[in-house]
Amino acid sequence: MSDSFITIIAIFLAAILMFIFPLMSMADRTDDISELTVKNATIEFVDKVKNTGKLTIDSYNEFISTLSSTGNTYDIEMQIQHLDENPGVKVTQADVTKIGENLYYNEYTSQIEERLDNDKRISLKEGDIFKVTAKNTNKTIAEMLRGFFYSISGDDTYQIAGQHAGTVSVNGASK
Amino acid sequence: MKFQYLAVIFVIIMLPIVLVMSFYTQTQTDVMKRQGEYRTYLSDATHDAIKAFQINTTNSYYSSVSDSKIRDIEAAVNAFYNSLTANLNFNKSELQAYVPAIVFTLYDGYYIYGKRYNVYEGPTINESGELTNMTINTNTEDITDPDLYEYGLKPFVYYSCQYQRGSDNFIVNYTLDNFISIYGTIDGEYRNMSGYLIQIDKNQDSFNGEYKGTTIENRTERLTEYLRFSAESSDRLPDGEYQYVVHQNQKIYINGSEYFWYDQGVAHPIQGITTKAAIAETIRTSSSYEYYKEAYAFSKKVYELLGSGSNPIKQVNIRTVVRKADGKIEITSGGTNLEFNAGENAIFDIIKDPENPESTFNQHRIAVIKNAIETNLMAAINSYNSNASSFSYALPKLGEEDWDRVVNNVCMISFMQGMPLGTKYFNDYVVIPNDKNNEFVDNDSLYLITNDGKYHMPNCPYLVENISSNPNMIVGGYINTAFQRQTVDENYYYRHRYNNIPCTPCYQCLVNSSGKYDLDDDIINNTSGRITRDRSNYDISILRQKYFTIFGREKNNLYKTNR
Repeated sequence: MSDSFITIIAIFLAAILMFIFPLMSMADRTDDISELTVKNATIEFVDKVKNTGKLTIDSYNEFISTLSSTGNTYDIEMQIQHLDENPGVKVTQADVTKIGENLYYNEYTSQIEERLDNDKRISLKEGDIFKVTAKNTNKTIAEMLRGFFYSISGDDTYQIAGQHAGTVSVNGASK
Repeated sequence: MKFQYLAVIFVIIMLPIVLVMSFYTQTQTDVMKRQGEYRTYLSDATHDAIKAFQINTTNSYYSSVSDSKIRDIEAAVNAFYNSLTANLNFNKSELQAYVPAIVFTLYDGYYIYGKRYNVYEGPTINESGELTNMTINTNTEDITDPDLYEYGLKPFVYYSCQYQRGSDNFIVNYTLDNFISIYGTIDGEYRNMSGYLIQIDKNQDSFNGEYKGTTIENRTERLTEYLRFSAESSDRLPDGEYQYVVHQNQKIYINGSEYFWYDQGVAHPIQGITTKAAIAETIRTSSSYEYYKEAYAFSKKVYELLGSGSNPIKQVNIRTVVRKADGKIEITSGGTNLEFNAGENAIFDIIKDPENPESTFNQHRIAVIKNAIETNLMAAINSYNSNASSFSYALPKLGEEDWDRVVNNVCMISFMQGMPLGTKYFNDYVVIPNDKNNEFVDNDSLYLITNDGKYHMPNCPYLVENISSNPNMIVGGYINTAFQRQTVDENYYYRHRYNNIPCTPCYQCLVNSSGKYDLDDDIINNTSGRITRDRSNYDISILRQKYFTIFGREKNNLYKTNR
């Protein structure tokens, strides 16, 4: 009796060890590599905008296609903070480099996408801030397995994410 | 064998594989992360250096003088290292080992900051006053001695190209815009001329006011600047708007019948009677018209000497210096190492617009600039060796977009190579253009002031769409550096005001640019003077006329050492 009980336990254990464990480990590695790709793509995309002062529909599409090459779907959030020096100009003691005296006004993903569709590009100026966050929206295999075992689930959980931001260093208005 | 044993054996086999795999992926992730961080640090440091350069040059009225420029560049290099040391926890000398070169491309040439051999190798005079050591030191041990090297600016290199045609032999120095200098023998006569190349009509003798479909009026402009004076200066003038003219490359302000120049919050009166008379004469001339007139005469001359006739200057006349693989220097003809081949087209054919990016002149100019930078930079980086890293230094391939910025802007290119990242070495470069400078007037570096107290880019939608219904809306225009904040006695002020209120940047172009109209295609090269967009038609002839007038004036007023 006790022997067959142990055998059953052992079969379960063996099944977990031989199939599930390697599968989870491999799935985790795949996600790690996807995350690496996403992080890199995000950094590259933001740096390009930062160093050229231009956000073009081509570079945005390229970014999206790099992300989808990982086989997942992503939720991309973009934010442009436009530096508005004007309030600082009106008072004599204002300084554009001082923290707290500048105003930024924001544009978010849907507004940016709409402008990209219409004008094909957005020019930024020195001092503007550009932020991008990409998170996966589908459930990766690692997430599914983990959900099956530890039953952690919810809409907000994500496995793969890349985030980067930078201050634009050049005026991209005409070139 | 029992199941349990099988499982144990499986775990023994799998566990190391999984561990090694995850360790490997982790290392790769770390390397990537560090690489991204370093790239950000490098780009931030370069940006800081450009910022330092901007602050030093645009606030100094003498920044174009070469001594002052060397000082400003060295200060920028210090800013670069300060920024890097703050992020990387290395000191400056440790970091220098990983920075084989920093290039400052300026208006008519460039500097490379890097390691140089700092020993005089020629003849020396001994204690008794005799010349000794007449042979050049070729002792390779000395040359490889690291103590004999130091970091600094290498000599300035011009963007120049040599041409030979029969007995003619001359050099042309190019710049980031259409200004060129020609030195050498042409038609049996030694010539030394400089000027702006513009499009001319070969049947017309001199400038008649027509330029790119618009009329430049021979009329003086009233230029003003708001000045604030230091409380400590004696004979302090009241703060306010003063009219100015640029006389012999210097801004002279007018206060009633008196003239003065301004520096650091202090007015320095001008006394000499002859100087005053000369200034009064300058006030009466239109510097904008003067620019086009001089440029036209110069272009006509260049066209006659080099661009027309049976034997114009072509690709075959180019002489370039090529460094062979064995280190020998050889002069070749035909410009084979230049990226652009003009073929049978005349290079100085000014009937076509030399300012057009597609023109033969412009493409040749870009090829010369690129070649000048690339050859020296390659030599500087390839010969670079450092004890800190076994990395073999080589010039990375600069992308097309980066070159585009280098040949059109004052730029800083910084290289960082050989920094260990874990499994590989960091090897990257950053190009940051400096678009606020007093080196030259770029197409896009002019701001136009309108009668609502705002200033705009020339391609601002507000300007384009309203100019025809409100033709007097543009009340002035200046180079972009004149709109920067100024400081006197810790008080800030802006030089340009309208109705006694500082002008503010426009929300449709400068604060948040729309990119709706293209500066080159829709404004500058649009000789029809009309734009059709979204089923509306706009007349921009007044905008173009104002733009070219301001453009000519600012170009004429800029400091040039060789004029």
